[in-house]
Amino acid sequence: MSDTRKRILCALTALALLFGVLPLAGLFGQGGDPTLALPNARRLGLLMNSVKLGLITALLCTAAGLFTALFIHNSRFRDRPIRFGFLLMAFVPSYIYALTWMNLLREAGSIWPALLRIRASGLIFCTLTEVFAWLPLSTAVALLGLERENRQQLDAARIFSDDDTVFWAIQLPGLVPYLMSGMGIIFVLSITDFSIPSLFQYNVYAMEIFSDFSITGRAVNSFWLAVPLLAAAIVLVFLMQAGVGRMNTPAPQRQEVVMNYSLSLKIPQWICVLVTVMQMVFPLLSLLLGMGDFAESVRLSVEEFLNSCEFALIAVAICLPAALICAIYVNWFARHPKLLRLLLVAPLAVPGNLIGIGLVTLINGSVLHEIAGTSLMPALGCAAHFLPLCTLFLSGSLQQLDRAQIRAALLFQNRRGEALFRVLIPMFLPALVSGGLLVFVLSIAEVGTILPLAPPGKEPLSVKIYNYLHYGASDAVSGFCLVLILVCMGITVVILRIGMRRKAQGGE
Amino acid sequence: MMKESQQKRRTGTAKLMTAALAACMGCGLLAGCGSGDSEERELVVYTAVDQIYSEPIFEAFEEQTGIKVQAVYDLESNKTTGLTNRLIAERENPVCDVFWNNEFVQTMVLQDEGLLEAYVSPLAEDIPDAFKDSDGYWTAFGGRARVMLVNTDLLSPEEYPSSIYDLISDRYSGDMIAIAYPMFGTTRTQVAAVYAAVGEEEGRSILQALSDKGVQVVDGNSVTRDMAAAGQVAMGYTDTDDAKGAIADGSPVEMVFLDQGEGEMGNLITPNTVAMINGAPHSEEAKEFIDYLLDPAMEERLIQDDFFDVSLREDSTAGGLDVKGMSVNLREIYEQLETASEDIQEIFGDAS
Amino acid sequence: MWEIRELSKSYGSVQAVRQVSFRIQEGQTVAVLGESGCGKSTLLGLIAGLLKPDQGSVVRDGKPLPARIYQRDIAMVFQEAALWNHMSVKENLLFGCPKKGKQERNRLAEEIAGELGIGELLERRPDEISGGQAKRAAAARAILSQRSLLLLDEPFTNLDPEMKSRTIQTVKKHCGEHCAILLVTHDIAEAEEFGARILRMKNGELEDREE
Repeated sequence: MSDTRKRILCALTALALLFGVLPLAGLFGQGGDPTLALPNARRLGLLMNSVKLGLITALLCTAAGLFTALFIHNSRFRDRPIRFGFLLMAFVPSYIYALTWMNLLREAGSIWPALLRIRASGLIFCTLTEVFAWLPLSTAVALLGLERENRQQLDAARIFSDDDTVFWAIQLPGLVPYLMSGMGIIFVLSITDFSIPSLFQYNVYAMEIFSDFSITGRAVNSFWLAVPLLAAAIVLVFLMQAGVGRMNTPAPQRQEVVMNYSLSLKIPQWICVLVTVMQMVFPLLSLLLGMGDFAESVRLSVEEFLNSCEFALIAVAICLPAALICAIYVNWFARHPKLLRLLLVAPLAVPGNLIGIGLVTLINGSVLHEIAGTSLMPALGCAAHFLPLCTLFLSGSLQQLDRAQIRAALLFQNRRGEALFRVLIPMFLPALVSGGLLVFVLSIAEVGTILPLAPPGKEPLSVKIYNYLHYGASDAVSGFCLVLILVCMGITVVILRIGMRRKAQGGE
Repeated sequence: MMKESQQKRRTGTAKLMTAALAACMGCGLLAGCGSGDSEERELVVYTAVDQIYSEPIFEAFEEQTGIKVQAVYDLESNKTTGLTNRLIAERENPVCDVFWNNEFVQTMVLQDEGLLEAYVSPLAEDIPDAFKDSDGYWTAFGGRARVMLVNTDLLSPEEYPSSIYDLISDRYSGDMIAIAYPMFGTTRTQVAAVYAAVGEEEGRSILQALSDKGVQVVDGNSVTRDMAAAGQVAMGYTDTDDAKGAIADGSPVEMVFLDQGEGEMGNLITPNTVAMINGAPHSEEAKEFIDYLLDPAMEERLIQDDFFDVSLREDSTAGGLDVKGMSVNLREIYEQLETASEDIQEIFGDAS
Repeated sequence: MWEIRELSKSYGSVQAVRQVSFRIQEGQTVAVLGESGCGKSTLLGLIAGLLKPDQGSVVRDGKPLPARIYQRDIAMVFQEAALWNHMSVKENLLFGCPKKGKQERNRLAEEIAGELGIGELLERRPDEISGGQAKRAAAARAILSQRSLLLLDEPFTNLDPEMKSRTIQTVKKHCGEHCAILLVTHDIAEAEEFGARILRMKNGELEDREE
């Protein structure tokens, strides 16, 4: 690539990264108190609570996700779309997910009154619920790693050792980069969430930020308060990167390696699969039991769901190209890719409502204020909020591409762009589609970012769910959640089926 | 031949997927840019009132006037600072015409920020001065009350509390009582109101006593309601609209208003407020909507529909709950908020 | 005429290629021989314009050109087959082929593939054929691209002696006259079968420097 083009790419990346943090610039016009970034003794205690909760949740969740993924990967569902069934509850906002357990406990309490006297509060209940809520994510990450294992390396190892040793010595180290990145994301999700901790009366730092925002109404102070969370996220991700070795290069051969583990590895798998099944069945049961008239729920949510889809689609359209540019730069051209990746993680810890309010302030006071009442606003907010995550995901996927294949394409192309459109994009299409799906699903479930940005008269489903929840219309909320699950699952299945058909057509 | 057709299909699918992806993006962008111009009369209302109540009113207004209402709703955990912050952020180029708030504090914040425009509705004449801004920047109407929701399975009528002082007495242990996080929402307003009614010092001692007792502090009024309804606590402080929901669900609960006796401070009533935004793009429509909301006939209808629980108008025949309100006026309560908030942070903000 | 002038490349303190210069004419084959790790593949990467040299240039017919221009005249067979899995073998073969017309292109692909013994595999995907077959497909792709400089980076690993010989003969037949061939290998027999002029490389340097 010529120097000019490299400079253009660098400038585009800077622009895209700026887009991710620019909304915050809108906040700084308000002044604020930077000393809030240094926590006092009380806040330090809250921060420790947050970090403790985040670490335990991330560790447990990753371990459970790994064993569940191992089970799925060695089962007869390994090649079927149904292996992604564990994602079922991933589409329900985590707060609602936690509530389904509370509701279930209450329902069960009418049969066994002793259950009602259980005080579901504190670190243990909070951790358990968070582990359940994010188990689909950690399982998905581990499964992704397993499906990209270098089968030849496994075969080579199996000749010399039993499968348990192969697991500890070959498979697990190969999975470490995936597990670490999953753990980092879950840690960030956990320390920035206050809804589940508040449900279980566990005081965390994110709650402090939110309560300060509610009292003072000053978003910029929330940013300064969020700085320690940002720092915690950066430190953790830095430590993880330091411990990460090289990612496995996948071998494209389609060989069926089914491992024969001993009981010591099988029992944890069975337990984790049981937990995964519980994680889906009980909340689903709770939603089904709590649901009123499903047809009415569909009728009440159609418009809002379409609004959500519109915001999410535009968010994907904005976020995906920006993230792709950043990912290409970070992976192939940046001088300090590790540092850049680290910088990308930090904005993940910025609360969504800050991005929302910042963006309104920025746009409303500028010449662009005409777009203030359009669907572009919530989409821009979501795109900015999820840009770091999407970039990290695409950057991880880019590392998996075979560089020799890319070089061959660059060399053999007869026209400019041929290598890009005929080789690079199709090779990278599955990752692009998955990245798009990730942003789409996250945007559909997002509340904090969208709330200050949704155009008048265009309410998204996530906001309606929370609004109805307050009214106590739990039957409608259950119905809306089921609609959300069905449609999101439907979209995922369609995408997977297309992917499977492509694979199958290539075969036998 | 077979292989070739498979091959074609395969590249076809790849192309299809690329095209679909591109089409989605294109459509999305177009849809994003191309919304929002129409000839019909329009009105933008930001409301913190539950959608399930406010939406039918917008629809009725649309039907009566032909003015299309574009609403922005809030959600409980954000109430109502989310909308206030949005309005402040939009100050340069206002989008909103009318702010219909389910309480009064944030309306006054907006007034102090210079974001409201005065409009004295002819239909607000009979609303007491304590519930109107002297310059006409906002008007309070209807409302709900704070209420103690008591679980009838766990407490008999003689065990019900009758005063806020009962809560800090030895009659109840801390784990029998649930309150929402007092840092925000109507719980915070209630603390400020108590400060305004009994003085800062005594207010603070009440707050400290509640904290020392170890009352259960939870996420919001809906959670206190649910806990009382489920019997997880004997009583939960909530708002009347939440409480009525639980009663309608058939939960074993009853509403109890505190401090109703002669000489007692009375129970906090949190009225709705409505105000026009400074620089509202549709000011004529905004006035029409404010008049529509403040119409006494509307208030009566809303009480009958269970939307309001009390009327603010003197000698109202609209019905509603019989609650003795506090004698302090809204501005006094507002002015106590900062002191109350600082105390709340100090007393309830501790990490446990 | 292709001329490699003073090409150098280092990675940190390791000097991978050091001032390498030589010339190669169309119709001629040059083989660079050396042990693993002596910088042969880096040299090919530099010539192909896939790596940026610290110093030196590639000159075509007396004119030093930027890589993006002369790249269009270069084909390469990589150490790994580097076939694209989302395309069929035939699509891989025809990717760089400049010929127009579907029938003509198909005929050419079938002809070359037939000569290399992979005629039956054209509709398969690269991950459904063996390593040796993939290597032959990569050679076919390079032949079909009809470029004037063919770079071969240890192209015949995974091939049995008979297949190796057949592939070399096919490459010579189709590229031998109009094309300059630069072969990188550690196997002197391969170089001899090509009838190549031999250059030896050690520690990033050519042992017998050409003027």
